[in-house]
Amino acid sequence: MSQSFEEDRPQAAGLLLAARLSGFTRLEYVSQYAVWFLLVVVILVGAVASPHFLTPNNIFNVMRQAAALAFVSLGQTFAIMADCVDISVGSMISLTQCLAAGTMNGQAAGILPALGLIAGAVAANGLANGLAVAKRKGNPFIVTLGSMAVVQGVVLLYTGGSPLGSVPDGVRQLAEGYVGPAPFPVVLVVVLFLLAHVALRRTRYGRYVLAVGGNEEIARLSGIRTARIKVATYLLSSAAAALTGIFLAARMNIGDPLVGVGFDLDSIAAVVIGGTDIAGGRGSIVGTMGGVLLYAVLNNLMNVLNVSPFYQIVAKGAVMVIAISVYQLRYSR
Amino acid sequence: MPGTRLTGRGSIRMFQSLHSQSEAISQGGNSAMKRILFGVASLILIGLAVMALPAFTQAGAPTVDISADYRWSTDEPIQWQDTTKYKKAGPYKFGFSNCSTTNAYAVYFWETAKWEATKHPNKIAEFLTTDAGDSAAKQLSDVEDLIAKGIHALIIRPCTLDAAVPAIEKAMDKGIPVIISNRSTKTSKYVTQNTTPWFDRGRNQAEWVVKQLGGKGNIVSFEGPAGSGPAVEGFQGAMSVLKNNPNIKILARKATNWSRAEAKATMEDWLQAFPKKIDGILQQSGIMGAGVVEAIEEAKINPCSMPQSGDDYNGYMKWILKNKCNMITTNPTWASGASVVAALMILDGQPVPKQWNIPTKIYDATNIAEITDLSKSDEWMPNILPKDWKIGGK
Amino acid sequence: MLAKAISRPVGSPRSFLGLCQRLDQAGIVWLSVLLLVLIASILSPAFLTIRNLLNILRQASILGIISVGQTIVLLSGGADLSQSTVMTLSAVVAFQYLAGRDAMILPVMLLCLAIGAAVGLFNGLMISKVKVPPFLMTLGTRTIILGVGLVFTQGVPQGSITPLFRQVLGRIDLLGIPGQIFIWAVIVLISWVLLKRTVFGRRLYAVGGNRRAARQSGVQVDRILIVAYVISGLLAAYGGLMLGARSGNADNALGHGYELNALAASVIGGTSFAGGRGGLGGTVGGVLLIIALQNVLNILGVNPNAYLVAMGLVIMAPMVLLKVQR
Repeated sequence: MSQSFEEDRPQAAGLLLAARLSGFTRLEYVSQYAVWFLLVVVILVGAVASPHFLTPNNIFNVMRQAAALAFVSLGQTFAIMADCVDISVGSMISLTQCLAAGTMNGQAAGILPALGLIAGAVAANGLANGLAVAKRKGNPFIVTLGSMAVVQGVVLLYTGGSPLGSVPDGVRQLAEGYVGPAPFPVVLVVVLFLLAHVALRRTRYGRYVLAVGGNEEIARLSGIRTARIKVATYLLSSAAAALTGIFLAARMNIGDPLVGVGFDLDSIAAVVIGGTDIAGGRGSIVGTMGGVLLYAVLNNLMNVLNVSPFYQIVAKGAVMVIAISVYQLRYSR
Repeated sequence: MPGTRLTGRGSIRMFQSLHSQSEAISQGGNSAMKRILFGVASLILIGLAVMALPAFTQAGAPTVDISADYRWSTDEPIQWQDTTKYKKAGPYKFGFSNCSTTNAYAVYFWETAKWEATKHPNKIAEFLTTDAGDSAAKQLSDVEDLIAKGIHALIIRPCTLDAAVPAIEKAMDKGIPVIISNRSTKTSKYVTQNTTPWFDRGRNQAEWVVKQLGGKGNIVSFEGPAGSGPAVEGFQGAMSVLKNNPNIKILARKATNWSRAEAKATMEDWLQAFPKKIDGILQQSGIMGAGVVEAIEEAKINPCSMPQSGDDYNGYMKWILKNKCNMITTNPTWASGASVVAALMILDGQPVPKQWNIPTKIYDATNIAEITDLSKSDEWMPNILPKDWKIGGK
Repeated sequence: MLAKAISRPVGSPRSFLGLCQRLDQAGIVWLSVLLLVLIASILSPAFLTIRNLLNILRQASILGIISVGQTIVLLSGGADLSQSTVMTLSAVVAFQYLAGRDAMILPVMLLCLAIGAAVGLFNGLMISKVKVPPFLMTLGTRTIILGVGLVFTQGVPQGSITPLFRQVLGRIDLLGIPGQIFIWAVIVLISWVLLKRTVFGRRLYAVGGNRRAARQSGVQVDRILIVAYVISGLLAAYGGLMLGARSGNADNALGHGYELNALAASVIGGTSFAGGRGGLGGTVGGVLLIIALQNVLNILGVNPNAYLVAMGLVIMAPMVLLKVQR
């Protein structure tokens, strides 16, 4: 922890105390390794099983496929760290994808209105969740369960239940384009993760998030505006979901009201597998990246190995359980 | 033509061999004789070519043996696709992207494709399959993965009308022929489509219900998952009949997601909401139909007083056999086999119809015994798999 | 500012609003159920009939049983997402081995309950000994059991049930009331006694409230957790048998969605996701609310997509509008 921060304000001292209390540093470091170890094992299995696995084409495919989960998991990482789990992200992804494709309808003129509507949806959902959790002391799980249902109902009503819309070519580049040799979404994911990592370690917001999630009482007593942090975190989580929705609109060229199904639980799983404590207060952005990659590589590996879908399902569940167990064994007493 | 020396390149192989033969003759013969022989040979060849031509343009005469199960329907004029550009030598690598395998229909569908593939071991070297778990987003990734593995042909059962369209079009652009199987897609960039059109089935179902009600009465409608191709197209087919029958009113409709329990609970509620008012039931599937008839029975009403349509889910068929009312339209599980055959034909350069529809059949209480199997569970569906085929085998 | 205004108690304890503001979450849920019944009766004469109310209770009974298990697990500080696929596995196994033979009913039921208990044991062990977060552990188990069910049936469930099986699992009416409702009531009663009147129940609340403190007080935390998950697994397996008996078939998506509904019912009924707080009274209310809402929307012919919006608002509104006593 930096010295200058401690010199700054009295609340910094309380913050430092909170951080030390949550035993953040060493354990996060260790549990991060578990997911990378597993990732290496899976990659080795894939490399041995098929010559196609480690080709640049396949690697870029996998990373492009992982991008969607990566964006939303980024927001979910902050949410879980702040003890503000957000299970409405799945339906937010569906809503924003449909707003994007439905408003743009293949025309460039529709881009700004679409962005406007999406921004409105993000603000509404983020504020509703944040205020309910922060001001009304609602349980994050119940609150976001409620907003998940509302948002999903809204998108079903808006689309009438069927997929709709399309995306202009320029926007499709978001998913299909390249920056040099690398696909654009991959570059975007890397950039965003770096920014988030820096934000977590070096900005005040990042440290406050950990403090609030670790022990809210102490954080509040240290002078941190916990309500503001929670609202900001929910806005961030909804924004991350919106980015995923826009990305998927570009990738699939359609707005599907059910596209987001599964992302809520998958993002939580990816975050926790990556070493973030579900109780809040400690975590790692880099670990989340590992969790997301593990998911995507595993899916790809199953396809490469041409495993029967029934066994695939068993295998995925088993890997998940193993991943979590390994991580837990390493840092439980 | 006669007298012109042909070069070896850019000519049909026969010409080539003849050319070398004529070269051999010319080494030791006189040139006039050589020219006559050459001319005769050319004429024979042209004649043969002309005779072979009809195979490429005549309707309904490909040289692959197509079993009766896979025969396309001729209700609509056939639009032939020229597939010569896809012709390549085997053995081939096929990719099959399935939407899901977590219901019995999908399982039989998949198994039929695998079985058909085993009938052509010399031509199909690898038969790769993926399961998208009902996610259109995952299906896009699956198709990308298959393309990356260098498949020669793609067979796809799309989750929704828009599922994987970018990847389908990418495959076609790359010269990989795409065969759409069982469900429709919104793009027209494919070579052939093997479906049993849900529109026709919905239309048949509605026609029957309307006829049973004498053109007048109240109905309720049960449909598949909202937004799915089958549900949407099926209902459109039904509406094409209903719009001409203004005395038939739809009291309520619900998407009950191919779930027997959900359909049963919904019917219970509707029997409460519309007491004695429901005259008929527009039903898309047999699995839901089986739940609905039970709800009616439990309400102490005779289910045969509410004519209901359905499909060839064994549980429903057994009920029809026992109670002697209601009807079904079949949803053949073997369109996938036709897709495998179609892929082989395409890669052999043979023409295929763009819409290769497998026709549906209508059965009611009088003839349902033909396709019902009382010895099998409710989840069974009619299929063409051989009796000893093990489900789940590779 | 608005939030501050809402949080100040407005009415005296004797006024209706004042009373509302002093209710706990379980009270709110039952109030919502009452309001729903009132509004529905006004909007449609078909709602308030004996037959319809019995329908609602009958439809609610399976979710109700599952929710009892979920509540117990929530009280221990966890959650059980694997209930849905345990239901499905139990049903497909039952159908396969029953194969239409009455004699097999008892052995098959025992087998399926044993499967449910085994899954619960696995969950409990991993959560207590290996300290895997319950949410994730049961998510993983859910996936594994889904796969096991698919492998077992190879995608096409076989077998069938008998009329006797269906009767045993609740098709018989007693005094005109469907058997399933009685079964649900009995299970709720037994569980209530377990939670409120036994040592186990007290210890369960203690473990959920503060695991470390409970351990330091000498409570066998691991044992309590394992028992909680085993109960949940047993009830899930039983619920699966009832669902199979009710719908007459067992397909591989039979239990889909039940675990989330059970979670929602428990949580909006006042059982805290953090553990240690809540109870079955609120859960029963939560289950009734969910099923009654579904029923009302069917009867009124409301756009089914609106169900989710309605459900979400019902969940969030009390929280936002009233200051719930903590």
